[in-house]
Amino acid sequence: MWPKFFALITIACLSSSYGYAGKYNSILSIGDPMPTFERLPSVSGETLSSSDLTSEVVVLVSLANHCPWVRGMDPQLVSLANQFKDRDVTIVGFGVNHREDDRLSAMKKHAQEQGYNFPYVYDESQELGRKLGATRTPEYFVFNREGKLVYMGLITNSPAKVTFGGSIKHINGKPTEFYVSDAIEATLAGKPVAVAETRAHGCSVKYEN
Amino acid sequence: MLAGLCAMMLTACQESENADTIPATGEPVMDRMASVTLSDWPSVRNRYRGKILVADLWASWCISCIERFPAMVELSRRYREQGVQFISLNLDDPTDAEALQWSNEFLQKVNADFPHYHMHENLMRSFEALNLLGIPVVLVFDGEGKERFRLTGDNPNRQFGDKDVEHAIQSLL
Repeated sequence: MWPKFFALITIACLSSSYGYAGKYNSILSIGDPMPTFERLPSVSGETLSSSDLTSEVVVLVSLANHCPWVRGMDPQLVSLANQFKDRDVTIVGFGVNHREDDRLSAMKKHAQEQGYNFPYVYDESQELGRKLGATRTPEYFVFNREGKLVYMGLITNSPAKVTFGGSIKHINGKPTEFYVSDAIEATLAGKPVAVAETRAHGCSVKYEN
Repeated sequence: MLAGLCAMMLTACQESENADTIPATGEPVMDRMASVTLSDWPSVRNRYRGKILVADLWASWCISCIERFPAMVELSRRYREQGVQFISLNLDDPTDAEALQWSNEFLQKVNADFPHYHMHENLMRSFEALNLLGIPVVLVFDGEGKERFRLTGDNPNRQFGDKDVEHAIQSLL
């Protein structure tokens, strides 16, 4: 009986390792530490390392220039950075894809066109993206002062994309829940985040083998 | 008589112009995808019971889906004789007419000669109900309708490729 029991436990353990860590993330769970990264090149010509991020709250967001969902939600991201520009909050966008239109030179152009008011770095090795389990763009990760993950997922409850006609269309009309903004405010106030995980919605990140 | 000849020539020219604008297949572009709802989805799959069913989930905004679609068309032809049925399920926003038009034209362009469906539901609701994080996703069902493979990009370290689709099919043949 015991060998059978242990075999079942082993199978259960192996199975769970193939499941999800977070509700919608195969790598990270709420409370996990922020992954470290070294000298990622930014669109401004400087480099950024995780050790540079000493704010009360750090927000990392995966982006991709080509993605209609990123372009549709860029105005919300720029507004978010404006909203917290005088608070102890740092927002960092990062690109992961190797497509030509998602690489650093295209990122520079995109940041300028969209009025990005935050550092935008290129994770060419894809190491940061992998460590975060970031599989969609845009996907938000909010960390507190101790560098622990307090929120991951959508920016609001109504993702938006740019249509073929060039207009911005929200899936659920005007957003009514502002997950990232609420998570930042709660963390700054030393309170727990009410909604810690949502299902990010956007283009898939393509990881190279 | 001259007037009659001119009229005949004019008619011939008009017909020739019309012929150029009609799609080669003669089918209206918007008829490529059958509209289904989430509650229809199990019965759609049931239509193909007895065959290995490969369902390609895609949308016009998903560039990876678009890029790999021709490979799915190629696979569908290669395995058709062995009783493998391909279908596609488009997840474009049902209220985005431009996206649906584009998707229909795309299917015509790539000559994807297997059944196509469009999920006529709120996009976030579809993703929740089908338990999707992102697309492309390929679902492979066995002849009894059981989902045997769910090929996704949900784990950065285990994203699927065309070979994985083929391996999944071969393992069920």
